Amino acid sequence: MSTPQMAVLKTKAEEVPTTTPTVQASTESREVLTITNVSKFFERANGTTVPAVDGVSLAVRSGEFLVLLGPSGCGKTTLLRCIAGLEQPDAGRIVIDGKTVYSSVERIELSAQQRTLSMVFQSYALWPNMSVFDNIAYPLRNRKIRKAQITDDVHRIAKLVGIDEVIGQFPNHISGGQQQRVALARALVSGDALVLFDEPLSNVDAKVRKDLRIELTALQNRFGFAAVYVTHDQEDAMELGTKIAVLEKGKVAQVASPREVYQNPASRYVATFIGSTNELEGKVVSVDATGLYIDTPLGVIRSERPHGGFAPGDEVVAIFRPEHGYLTPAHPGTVNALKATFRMELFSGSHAEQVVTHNHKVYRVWHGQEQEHGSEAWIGVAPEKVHVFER
Amino acid sequence: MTSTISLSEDKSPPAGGPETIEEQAAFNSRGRMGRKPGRKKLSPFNIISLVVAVGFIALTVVPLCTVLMRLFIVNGQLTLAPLQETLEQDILKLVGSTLIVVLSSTVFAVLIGGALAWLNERTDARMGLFSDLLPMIPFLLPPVAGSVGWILLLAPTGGYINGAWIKMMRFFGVPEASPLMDIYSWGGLILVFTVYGVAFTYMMIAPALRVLDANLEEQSRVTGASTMRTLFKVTLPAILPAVAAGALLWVWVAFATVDIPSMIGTGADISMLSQRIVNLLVFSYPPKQGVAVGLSLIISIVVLGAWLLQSNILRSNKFATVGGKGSRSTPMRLGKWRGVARGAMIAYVLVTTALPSLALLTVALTGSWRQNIDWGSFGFQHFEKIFKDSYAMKGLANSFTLGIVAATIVVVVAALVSLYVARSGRVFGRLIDVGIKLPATLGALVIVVGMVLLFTGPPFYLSGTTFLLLIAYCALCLPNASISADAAVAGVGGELTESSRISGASESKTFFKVILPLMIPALVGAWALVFVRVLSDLTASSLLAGANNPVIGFQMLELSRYGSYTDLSVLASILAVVSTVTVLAAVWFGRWSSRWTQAPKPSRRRPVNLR
Repeated sequence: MSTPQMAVLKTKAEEVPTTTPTVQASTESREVLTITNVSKFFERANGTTVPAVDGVSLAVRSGEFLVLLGPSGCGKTTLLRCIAGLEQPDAGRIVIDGKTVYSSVERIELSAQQRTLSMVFQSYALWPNMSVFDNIAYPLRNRKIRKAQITDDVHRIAKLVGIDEVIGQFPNHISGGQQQRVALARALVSGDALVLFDEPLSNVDAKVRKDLRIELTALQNRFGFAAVYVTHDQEDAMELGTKIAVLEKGKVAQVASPREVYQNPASRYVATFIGSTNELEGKVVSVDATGLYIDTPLGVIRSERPHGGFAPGDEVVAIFRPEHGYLTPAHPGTVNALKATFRMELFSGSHAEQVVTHNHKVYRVWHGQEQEHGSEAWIGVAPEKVHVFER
Repeated sequence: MTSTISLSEDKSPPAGGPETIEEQAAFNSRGRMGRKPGRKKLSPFNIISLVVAVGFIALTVVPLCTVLMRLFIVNGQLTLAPLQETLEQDILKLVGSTLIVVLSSTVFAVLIGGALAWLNERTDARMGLFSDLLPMIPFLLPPVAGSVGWILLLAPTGGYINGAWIKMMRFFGVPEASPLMDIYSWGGLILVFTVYGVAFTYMMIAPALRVLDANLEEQSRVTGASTMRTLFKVTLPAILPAVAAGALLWVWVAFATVDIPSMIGTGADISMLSQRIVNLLVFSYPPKQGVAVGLSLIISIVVLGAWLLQSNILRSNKFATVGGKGSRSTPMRLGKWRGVARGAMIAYVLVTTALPSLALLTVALTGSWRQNIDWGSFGFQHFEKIFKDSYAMKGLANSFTLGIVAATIVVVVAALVSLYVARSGRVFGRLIDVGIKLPATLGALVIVVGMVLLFTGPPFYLSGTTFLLLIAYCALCLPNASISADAAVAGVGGELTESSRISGASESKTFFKVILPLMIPALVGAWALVFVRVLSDLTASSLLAGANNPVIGFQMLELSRYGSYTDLSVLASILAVVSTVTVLAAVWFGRWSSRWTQAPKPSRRRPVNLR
């Protein structure tokens, strides 16, 4: 019994030569999607306009997996729907596969059905009145392709994503995971260079989600399409993306590789949105060639990763991640030693989180030992792991 | 009279006017917000839908305006005469008796409907078929036919139930027992009103109980509250809006209903508003239009008030306690009471539908309404007599043709308009939507009165034509069909159509492959209900039909005035059988054609990989 994702991984491992005409494994990487200064405004009931997307510029090359990450209401889904042609931007330019599909200056706008892209919806949007086969065949039938060819292509893609057993069923008669795969197959079958994903994994449970992430990455490696993936889940973003665009109130806060975004966040917003952090607000005491000292409620902390130029007296926030901190019951004798009160240990399997408080504010570190509730505890953290942003 | 018509004609262009302005505004505002270079704004679909929608809105708005004007303008002169005439009537008695019947039937309907809904949705006395069937009863046994059935059962001398009661009393040694109940009385009227009211209150209360978060009740029980305390402190407050909405729905339907008062009220010598209007317009010579219009106004004020109150309650959502998940609790266990509850529910259905139907069939098949049923005379000879009677046949043929044509027109229009409203702008779409649903909110009777004033005189001279009946049926049935179509469109909208467009399908392909197949089940259901409603209608039929264009409803009204109950029973039986068959066929077809939405039946065979 082999699971579907094993099938995907196996075909990938064997490197089956690409016989499918719909699969175009291009060797050189070209720009598939270019967005320039796209804006979209919404009108509130009281007449004021709110920018949902505010001058966003992004580019995605073939084989790239761009994740649009942000909290709900940051404009990520609106941006995706603008790319798809389901909503009209108010300004900017969108180029898909070398073809301008929207331009406010040139007054070009192609409708959704004229744009060569595929999309996987959050609800999967499988048509309940069509069988799995008909669902997958639908995009091909809109393109004047021979019947025999359609049948071949549908069966091939169904086998690839592991749903060939349910191909004659109606979508409501198969499991959630299978529905997810049907939606995926339908998006991939036409071999479009650009595939959009609107939080497609948000409806499946954690275990299936993990499997599907691996499958999705394998499929993308195999087909080489460019992907734009909307999510608010940072785990999805980190594992799937080759590039993450963190959105904040309709603007791009940072675009970089997952590693870069995590290790070198561009702003306090990005740092706190991705991964967990400890935040210490305070004032700059002194600045030297390699770093600066900040006076915080827990004591003076040294940082060697300032983001921007700071002068003594500036109001700043020092941020470090729990995995970079370690806890000791006595002063550790390092540059940074912050005094707090021990509260509890939270064991989560791969690591144990030590929770300390100071003035009702909670701080977490992943290294150290459990100690008595209410006892004195010292947090140590290397200065090069402490980021400083303006407040 | 002439000037009234000409004035109303002047009115008709503005009826479409504001909409066009509104559309212009919506168009402008969208044009300002963003350039839509590639958007085809006026596709043929949009133009057709718009024209149809505005046409149908005019069909109800213009008669309404006519009613209003007729109240103040007679023969081209401003006058208060109609108002005075109206007030000279026994107006307090009329309104009073209508209120008594409607309000007391509402109280009973809420109590019975609420109890049935609670038993069926929240306890283990639940019977699936019952909950499917109960809201359908007005369509299975239409009020026109049902009223006749109740007369046959509860008439003071000949009624089957009363006869049995007196016999039973004599058996127990009471020789001169009075009848159990007289249908021709306040009690009788209220009884029949209540039976039909229960379908409406149940229809509103049951869904509220179904989606009510079970955790609320469970939380109450966990904290140690008894079943009754949970019911009164938790369940009832949570569904209060639905209860109020159900009650008001029935008030607004019952206030303008013509069928039951016409069939029973006349015999009971209890005048109700709607029945008086019919009498003034149809059975008075010359027709007293002024007074009829004045009375119509009273009805529309009450109905409008009930509607506004109801939509306010439904919109406020103050008590909305619907759980986020579709959590379905284990139903409340009734223990030894379960059998009793089930028995009561079955008895209720038997008494309220089976008994009247049986009485109708008995009289229709034996040809006589007698206490001692002559079992030997059972046969279809009386049906044959009706079928050979050219006048009766004309009525039947008219009703069937009108039902089929009107239902088809109405469903197509409703689907078009719902799709159009779903796609057009907020303000403009809402305007069209309200316009289409207007007849339901103002009382069908008032609109028909307006049609009588508008179309029967010059310049239309449509009096006594089948065409006028068709127009009236279409206008009256559109709101209900429109609500069904809205639900169907809502189910299709959003990602399902968007994903078809993304797949490169053209507008028409998306419509025929995705939208239409998904809407068909709901539309077939709507078609059946409209067909049955037209067939059993008395509102438009009593006012607009005549000897030249008879329909079933009109003939039944005539027969009930002559007191020929055998023929009446035959017609009522035909009506009931056709209605039941149509509705059940539609329900069956709806299930069959949406078979893909139902979960597959659990297979008895073990899956291959487990063998």
